[in-house]
Amino acid sequence: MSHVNMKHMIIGLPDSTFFIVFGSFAVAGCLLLVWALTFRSDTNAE
Amino acid sequence: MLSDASGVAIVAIYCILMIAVGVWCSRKVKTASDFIVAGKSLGFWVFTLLMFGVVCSGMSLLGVPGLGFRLGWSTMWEQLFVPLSISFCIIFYGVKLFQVSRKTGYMTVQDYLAHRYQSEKAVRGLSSIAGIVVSVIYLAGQYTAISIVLIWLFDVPHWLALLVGATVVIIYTVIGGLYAISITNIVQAAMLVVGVVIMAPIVLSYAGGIETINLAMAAADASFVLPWTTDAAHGFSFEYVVSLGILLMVGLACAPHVINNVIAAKDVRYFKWVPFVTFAIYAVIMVLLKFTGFAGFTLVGDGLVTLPDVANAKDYIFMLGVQAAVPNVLVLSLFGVIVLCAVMSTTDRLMLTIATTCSWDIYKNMLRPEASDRDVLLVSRIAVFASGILTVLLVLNPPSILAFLIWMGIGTMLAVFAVPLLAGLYWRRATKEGAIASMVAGLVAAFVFGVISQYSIAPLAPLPMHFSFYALVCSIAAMVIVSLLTKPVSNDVLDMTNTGFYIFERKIL
Repeated sequence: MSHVNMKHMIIGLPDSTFFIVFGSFAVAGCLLLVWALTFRSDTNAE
Repeated sequence: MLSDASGVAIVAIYCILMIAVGVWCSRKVKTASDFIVAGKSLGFWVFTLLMFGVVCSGMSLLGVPGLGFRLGWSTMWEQLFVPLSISFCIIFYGVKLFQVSRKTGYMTVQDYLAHRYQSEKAVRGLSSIAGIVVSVIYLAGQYTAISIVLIWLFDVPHWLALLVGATVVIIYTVIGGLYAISITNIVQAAMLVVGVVIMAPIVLSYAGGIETINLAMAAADASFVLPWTTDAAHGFSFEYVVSLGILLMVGLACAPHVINNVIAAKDVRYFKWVPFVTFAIYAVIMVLLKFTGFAGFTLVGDGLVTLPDVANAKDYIFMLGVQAAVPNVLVLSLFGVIVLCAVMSTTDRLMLTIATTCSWDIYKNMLRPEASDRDVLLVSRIAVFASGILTVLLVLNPPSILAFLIWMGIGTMLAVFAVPLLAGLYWRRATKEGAIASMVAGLVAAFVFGVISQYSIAPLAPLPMHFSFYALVCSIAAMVIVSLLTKPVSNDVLDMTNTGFYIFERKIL
């Protein structure tokens, strides 16, 4: 069984778990936003 | 039996609605192109929900909570990587494939591979057979999910559950092709999203809330609340998470039933927002589903839920959580319909993919090039029917290693398709011989490492990473070495297929 520091918790999770997991979701979302905002809509696809 | 006549009526109404949509869409199907790629006319939301629906399967609704219940927070990465697979598919495969398909008239991803590598028989044939095998295995898993839900709800025999589920999907797919799939998918995706958004919080609240659930998990085993673990028996290790990310983002993204959809979109400008929108919707759904699995820790711990005495008991946790929180026949029946929505939205596309590969890639392009459009349409419809029946027969007596076969299928997609596709799109030096070598090496290595992993064969087992990662490395090595030793594809073909280290087509000045 692993030992974790449960002194700093967010919603019952070690704060490191909370920030690593949800931070990854946030980073992924931001990268996809960057993709959308820099998408070249003038691309000559047709 | 959980449900009664009203529950039967709800499921029956849903099934009739799906068939009615199929009949309505069948009026639009005049050519093989209409059937296979919906006339390349899918609008933004139809395309977005199609991508969401084909990836969000029965395994998402049953397997995701089950895995969360078994191993805790280290499995949450699955919820990040699966939604990202759609984004990866559109950004790294889709934009280019769409642009080239508009110039060349591709109907399938095999068209691209055959053209790019100038190999009508070997590359098209190998990729077609691999696509069919992987899709049939994946399909078998979906039918198993249909059976689990209908047996849970109505206590019907396994064969009857399979027959009902398969009949509905086969009918609307045979008559309406991708038009029917994409329109039924709107209904299915909407019901799925609304259903999960309503039911998951009810289960979480019944289990005491997310904080209580997390504390219960930590009390059971501290490993359950870590982002990754050092012990593979208690969750996903960091190395495993990395390999899972590659498997899901890169491998699932190039699965034929996913990637072929990009050819059916109407406008490349959709690819601007679809990656973000699908990620936002799907990530919320996936995280909620995983939370319902975590809820199992308190539900089972407090004796509110008792797991059935079956092999895959933990996969029942979301269903049992709903059953315990809202013991109402109508709600349970609606929940059953939601699971059917998830399963059918993937099943129909898988059957069409198998059919398209048979009719377009094998029949039209390899066996009988002179076949008329009408012949291709007819063969497509027969192949949808045959693939459905074949899979039902396979699942009637499911092999004991079905779960292994499904993981093997996804791993094989990564090992066989990813390298020829990525190298084909982005590396001008990739050759036909390199593509064939990478496919064969990927296939053999996926089998070898898959068996080592499944049966814990010493001294290599346990493998620290997902077995598909090793197969991917073999596939890359084969592609690079053999391509560098063989003659490059002509520049005309490379220019025509937009090959090079860029995403957007370069304008010729």
